Amino acid sequence: MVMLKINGRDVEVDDPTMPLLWAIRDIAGLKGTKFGCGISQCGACTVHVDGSAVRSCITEVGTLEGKEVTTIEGLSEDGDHPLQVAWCDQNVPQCGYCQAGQIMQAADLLSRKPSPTDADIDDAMRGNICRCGTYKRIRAAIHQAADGGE
Amino acid sequence: MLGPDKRQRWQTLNVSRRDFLRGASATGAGLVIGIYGCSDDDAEDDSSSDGGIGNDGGLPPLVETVGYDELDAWVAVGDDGSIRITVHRSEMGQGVRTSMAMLVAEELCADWNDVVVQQATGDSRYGDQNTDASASVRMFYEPLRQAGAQAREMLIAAAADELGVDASELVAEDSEVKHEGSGESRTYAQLAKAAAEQDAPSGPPLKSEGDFRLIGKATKGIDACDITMGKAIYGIDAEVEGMLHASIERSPTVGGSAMSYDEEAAMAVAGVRQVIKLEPGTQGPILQEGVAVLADNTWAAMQGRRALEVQWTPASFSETTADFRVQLADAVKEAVDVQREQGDVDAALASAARTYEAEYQGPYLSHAPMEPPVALADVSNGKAEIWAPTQDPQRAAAQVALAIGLDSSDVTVHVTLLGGGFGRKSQPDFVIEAAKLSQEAGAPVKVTWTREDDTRHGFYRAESRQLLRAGLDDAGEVTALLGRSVFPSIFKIFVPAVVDPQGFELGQGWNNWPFDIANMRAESGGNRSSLRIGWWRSVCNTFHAFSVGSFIDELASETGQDTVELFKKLVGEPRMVEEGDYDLDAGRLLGVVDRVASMGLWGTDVPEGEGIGFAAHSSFQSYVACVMHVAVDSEKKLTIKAVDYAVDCGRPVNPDGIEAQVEGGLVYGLTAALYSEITVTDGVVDQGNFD
Repeated sequence: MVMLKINGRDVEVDDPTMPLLWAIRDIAGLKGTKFGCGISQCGACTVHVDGSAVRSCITEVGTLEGKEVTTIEGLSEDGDHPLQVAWCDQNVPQCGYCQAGQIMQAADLLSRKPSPTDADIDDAMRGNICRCGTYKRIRAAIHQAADGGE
Repeated sequence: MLGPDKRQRWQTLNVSRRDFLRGASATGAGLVIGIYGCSDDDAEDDSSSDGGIGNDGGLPPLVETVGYDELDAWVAVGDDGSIRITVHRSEMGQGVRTSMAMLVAEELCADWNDVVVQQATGDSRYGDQNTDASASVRMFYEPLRQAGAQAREMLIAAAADELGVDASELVAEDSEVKHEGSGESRTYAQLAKAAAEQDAPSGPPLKSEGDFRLIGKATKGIDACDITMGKAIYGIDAEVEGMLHASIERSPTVGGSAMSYDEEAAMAVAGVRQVIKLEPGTQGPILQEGVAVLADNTWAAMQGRRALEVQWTPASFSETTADFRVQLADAVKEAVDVQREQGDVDAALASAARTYEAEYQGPYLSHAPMEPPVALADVSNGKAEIWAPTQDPQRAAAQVALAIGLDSSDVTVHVTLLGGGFGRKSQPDFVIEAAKLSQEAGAPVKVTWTREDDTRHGFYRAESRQLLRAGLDDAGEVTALLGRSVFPSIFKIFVPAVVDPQGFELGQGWNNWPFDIANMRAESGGNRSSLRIGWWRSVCNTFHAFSVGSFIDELASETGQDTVELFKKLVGEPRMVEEGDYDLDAGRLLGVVDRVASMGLWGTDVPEGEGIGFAAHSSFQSYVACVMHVAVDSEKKLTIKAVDYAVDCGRPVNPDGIEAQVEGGLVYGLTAALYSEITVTDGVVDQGNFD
């Protein structure tokens, strides 16, 4: 049995080998974090562990005792994180399925590099696939958030 | 007007009014409504103080107390001032929940800020819900405006009764009806009850285009902000109480069957409840044989499935890519079925000063939507309730009914958001699976496909080959054009004996070539495939635009001409080309060609190792021309430096949505060209995941 802390709430998981993704979705019941590949190749499942982006689909819950997990639902109280605001302003989503993972990855980038260049963005975001092809707007939204919402 | 919080909640509401009322009137814990897997008790939790995890699933509260008066199939007015517009086509990122609601709201004269969108269930009263062929706006541009105008006239009639004035003195604007003479006005919410009693007018007047306030205005996606908060509901998020999670091992070849599997080992995995063998019955090859593991959660189901170790008998017929490609290459060498001919191509080629010939090969492609196929079914008491990211809820309902022995009218299909579709989710296979398993298990079942399942059990874009041969005179002018296109038809998923391409496929850029060349012949042929072929984003246009566009570029290079000038010369005069299943307006095609050539990139000089290419095509009655600046380095690494696009898709409803589609289509096309080949060995797809 493993006790996880997700968005500040305690969540109990029986199987320590269960990937965090399925604990978040099926046990904690938080649906914003998405399944895309199961092998850390697409980034749809990206969440934060102690503030850093991880692929929840390959992270066993047994490795997370005492750590803080944050999902898209916990990124801000009311969807007012600068990235969420920029994402709406730039009208980034098409189907939208990958976007929570994109935003969590971008939040990690901005916490390390508050003013990223295009190359920084491409480098940090290259593991997050969007089949609708919203990459151009993702880049614009990250710049907007980095520039303080301008 | 709605406050922002209320608006957000309504935007994700995806249940029918009946469900909603059932939920609102019921009491007690454990009630589950629609696709929100949480109870009344959960809904009352305070979600603001605990990082947004208060109600189970972090989903919006369930129980709504807004009463709606329905004015027609698409429009209802809430007593809180909200205007509920029903969208009956599936949203997969192409923007229909925004653009189709705009069409209704335009004629309804609704304030866009009041609009909330409800997704229709599968129901023939809405007409065609099969969301494919790029048809939603062009098919419903008028009917949806009529639905909005009809409701507007009913609201005006109600206001006329109440104010005791003639309807002609009233004006509808911003969700209100106003009487200019007296300055009196009534909101739509105030008028809704009386309006719902009015007779629906037939043929209500529509606005002239100059009066449009919404159509043509760049509008944000109606679900965009919910999506950024993780609140939007996709098929994979659907949940009802007591549901089991299923993972299915399917036959690696189409038509294979399970010889043996280790049920005991699967049952030994913690959380596994049941193992069920799924047989396709009469629904092969749409449905594949499989062995399903049902469990308490997705991970346990996947682990149980792994333990099954299923042994399969191979299909009676299976292909290998290398052989298949030889067959296609052989096929285009010989004459195949003539689809269109003018002049005498054979004579013109024989007498040409010289000929130029090229062949183009395009592989099978998988759709790979980010959300793999997934469906939730609850079959009980002679009814089936389905929640699925389906592009075609009516076909899904009919196929479910067939699979489990119900009447279609007893099958309700709720359409969730689709995490990408691209044609894959037009197929009902994953929905049928969930329904069969729920019936057998006697519990609600959600089937979640893995990425490998999606890659290996798809309905692929056909692998194809085109041969193009041009006759040239002494001056390098084109005197004849012969084309052969060979590929397996989609139609064999309906009628297995069909191999040859059908009219609906050849009309996609082959027998409706825009050219006016004196001697011209388009031929087509089939080749038997062991895979299932399906609709893949713009379908056969993909390989026909590629081969024809490439060939014109090569011809220009070969004869020392400018590609754009040559293309225009071959198209000739503006006129309607009425050949095959899709008419083509050569004038509109020439329009986008001229436009793109003037945008800046075309005609610029580039250094060694770089080039500028051009192509133009008509797909599903839109016209696109594209100029691309590319560079290739010494290690053959390709860089796209810049792209110009010109698009004529008719009157733009939401220009921002169209831009997004073009931006995304570019990425999708490049990904297909560079990274997405699907190959087959003995009937088994070689690829699996994104690695």
